[in-house]
Amino acid sequence: MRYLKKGRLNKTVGVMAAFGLMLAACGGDGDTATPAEDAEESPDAGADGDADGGGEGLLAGQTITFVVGVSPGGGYDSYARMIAPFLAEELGANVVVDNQPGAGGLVSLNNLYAAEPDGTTIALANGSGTGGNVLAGAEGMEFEYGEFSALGRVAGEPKVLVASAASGYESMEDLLADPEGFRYGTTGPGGSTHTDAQLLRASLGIPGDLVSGFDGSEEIGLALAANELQGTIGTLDSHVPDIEAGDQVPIAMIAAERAEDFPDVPTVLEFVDDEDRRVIAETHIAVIDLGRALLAPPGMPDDILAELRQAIENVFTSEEFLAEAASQNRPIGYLTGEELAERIQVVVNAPESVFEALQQQ
Amino acid sequence: MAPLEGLALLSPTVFVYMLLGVLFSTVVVITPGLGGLFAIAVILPFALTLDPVAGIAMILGVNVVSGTGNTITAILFGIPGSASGVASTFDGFPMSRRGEGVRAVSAGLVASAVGGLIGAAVLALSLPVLRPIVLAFRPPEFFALILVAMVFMAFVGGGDPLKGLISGGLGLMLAFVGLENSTAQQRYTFGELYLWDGLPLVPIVLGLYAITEMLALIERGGAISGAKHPVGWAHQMLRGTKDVFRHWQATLQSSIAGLWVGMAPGLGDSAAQFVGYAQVAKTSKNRENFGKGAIEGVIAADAATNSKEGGALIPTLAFGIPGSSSMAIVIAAFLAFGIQPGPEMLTQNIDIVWMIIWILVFANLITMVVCLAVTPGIAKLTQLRASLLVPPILVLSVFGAYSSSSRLGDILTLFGFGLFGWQLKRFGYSRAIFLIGFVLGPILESNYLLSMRIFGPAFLRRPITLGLLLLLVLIVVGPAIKRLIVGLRRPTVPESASGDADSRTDA
Repeated sequence: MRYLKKGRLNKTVGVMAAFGLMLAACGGDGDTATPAEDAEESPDAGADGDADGGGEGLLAGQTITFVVGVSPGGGYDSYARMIAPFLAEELGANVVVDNQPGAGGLVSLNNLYAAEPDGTTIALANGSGTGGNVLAGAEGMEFEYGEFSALGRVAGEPKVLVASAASGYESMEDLLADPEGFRYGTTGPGGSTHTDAQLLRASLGIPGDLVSGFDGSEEIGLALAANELQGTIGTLDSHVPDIEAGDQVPIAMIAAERAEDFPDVPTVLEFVDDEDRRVIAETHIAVIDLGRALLAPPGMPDDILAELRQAIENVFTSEEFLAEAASQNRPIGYLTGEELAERIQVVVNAPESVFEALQQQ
Repeated sequence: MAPLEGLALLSPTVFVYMLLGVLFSTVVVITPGLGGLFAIAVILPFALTLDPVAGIAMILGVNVVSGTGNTITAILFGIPGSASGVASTFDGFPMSRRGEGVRAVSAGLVASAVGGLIGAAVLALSLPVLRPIVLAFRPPEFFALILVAMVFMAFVGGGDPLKGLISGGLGLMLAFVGLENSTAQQRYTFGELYLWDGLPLVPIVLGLYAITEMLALIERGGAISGAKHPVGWAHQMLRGTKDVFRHWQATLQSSIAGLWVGMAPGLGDSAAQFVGYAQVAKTSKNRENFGKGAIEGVIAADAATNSKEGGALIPTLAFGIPGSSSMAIVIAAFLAFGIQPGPEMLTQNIDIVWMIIWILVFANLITMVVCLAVTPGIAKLTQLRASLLVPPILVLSVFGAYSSSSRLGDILTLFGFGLFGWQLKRFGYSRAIFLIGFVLGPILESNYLLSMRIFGPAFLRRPITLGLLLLLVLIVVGPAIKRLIVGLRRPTVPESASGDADSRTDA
């Protein structure tokens, strides 16, 4: 037992203690960062006696679990961590971001659907992705999308159909005149790149192949650059750099209106010629419009729902919050809870033709 | 001179922020279960408040060394600090048990730094031709590369080939659990949402190595290091450093493999080490000892891990496309600073591009020195008896497994694979080959599917793919052909030449 000699032992124990400390430090950095901030901020909110913020509201002093269905680090996680301290101040509550990754967000939504509707559990969910899943009849959903309490939309980025510059396509007319259509890069059935391409084909009545199996939009971008594919659909923001670099050509916006920065790019609605197809195109736009959605469990009492909606409205109209979002380069496109709820109803009540379009390979 | 302008950007203040990033990253990745992705996510909010150059330096400092520190615990205790440190355990841990832990760690750390420097050099040299390089390596080429690595993995360990096949096959089979994205088909998920994302890598690795080794240690008693009087650490460090240069072919070969894997957006952060390891395992003269404590194995695992960061920057600079998931967060940070990663950087921000390359160089060297400095202290723990060492390591393992996704299933996976690994070890099946199959199998499949869907069977005719596949055929049947030729050249042998060759092939 020579290592139990006094000096040696102290050293070894020291190293192990250092290890433990390191561990504690890391754990603290990761999971409890937001509550730590909140603990500092929420007493302030109470002390200020913030009149709009409802420092004495139903949720004041409570701990609200703010669920995201992804691991720390991604876009949804960053949005949630950006919103949490502002919401905490408005409600006079503790808001703790809780990462519940799994099955593309389904784990977190299934949990949310089953949670108590007392206002202490809310979530930032992929609203449009979930809408696409509902229409595509994906497996594993233990919830009715239309029953969630809609709190508001954080951001809804319009989408654009782009062609690879190397393909030679320059406009929607070129695409409509092509008897074979594009080969679209997609991740797989149920993924937004896949449903977007299926709904675009159906709303325009054009042919086109779906090449699935890409890991994400980055890999699809490379395949476009190599001219192995002709087209893909994604958020306008994510494609602007490629468009400006001349690698991709915008063909059409999947949106109700043209984009301010690209006034010459038509919307898909401008090419829809009959009523059945218009319904498909409008449903498609409604799905995209769901964006990043704040949801709560179904059956929430009216007073709690109203308080949450009001607090969120206050956050998303405060200049301090908008400045923070701008500095983090995170676009905001706020819609009220009522507006979000309406759009969810449009999607879940979509006509049969939309469901059929999503069954076609 | 752009390279000097880039160096000039690294002012003392910027350098300090980079250093902070490097140190923080090192502490995080040494902790089991926490990886580079976590480190970046944590540091990002802070870095974004800095001015752009300092912020970028800090984030890159975190990113480029996230594959270095995990070597220490991977080798000394058999606990990889993160998923990208797994292959270091294959040969490092057996060396640690022989009392050569410090030598193995030193070799691994120096190899990491050298790999990082090779990555930086190749990135610098390829600046003028970034785009053609990225476009030359498409799914068919990655399919061929991974296929080569998987065939090579059969040579790891040089044990019973049948047991090797079974281990690799088990790894492959378990890798297919989950939702196959390109068709949205469930495979072996039994209605459990937990299984949709596949079995999680970090808990499996911690189970197979940390839990298994602790079980074995309890069974055996004593300490990890079996050596009564281990060689002094200064001597071991010197030896480990020399090993990296003595086996320069292994270092270079694995660094190149790492660069290649780093370039692909979909291959994942943990694949590089296995591709590098499998290649070196096949071509090394010392191949029988791989998996049993071959120093080349440690070198191969670590060189690839760090050179991949240079590789991951190639598509980032060429197209603004991240080569790895951690690089995706780095790109998001660039955007927040108003710098658009992509080809414009080469014309508008060439000084920043060079600063990035310098950061690759300095961060790798600094991390190596820091890690070498703490190694002897940590290495002493390997001489601690089991009853003192096992409890803290079990706690760390549970923490590491659970922190990867905060799901209870991860703890079940951890202990399930701990028992499974213990049985594999007892009956002489290779855990290394199992893991290589588990990690590379799905990548092989997805690149095959993409190749077929994009190009059809004609993908086999693409020059680099064809070349690699022919090389593979040569390596597999080459020895048999060689024996045949040798047999034909000896007409004086009484038996017929062909019969001779056949009998040798059979043997």
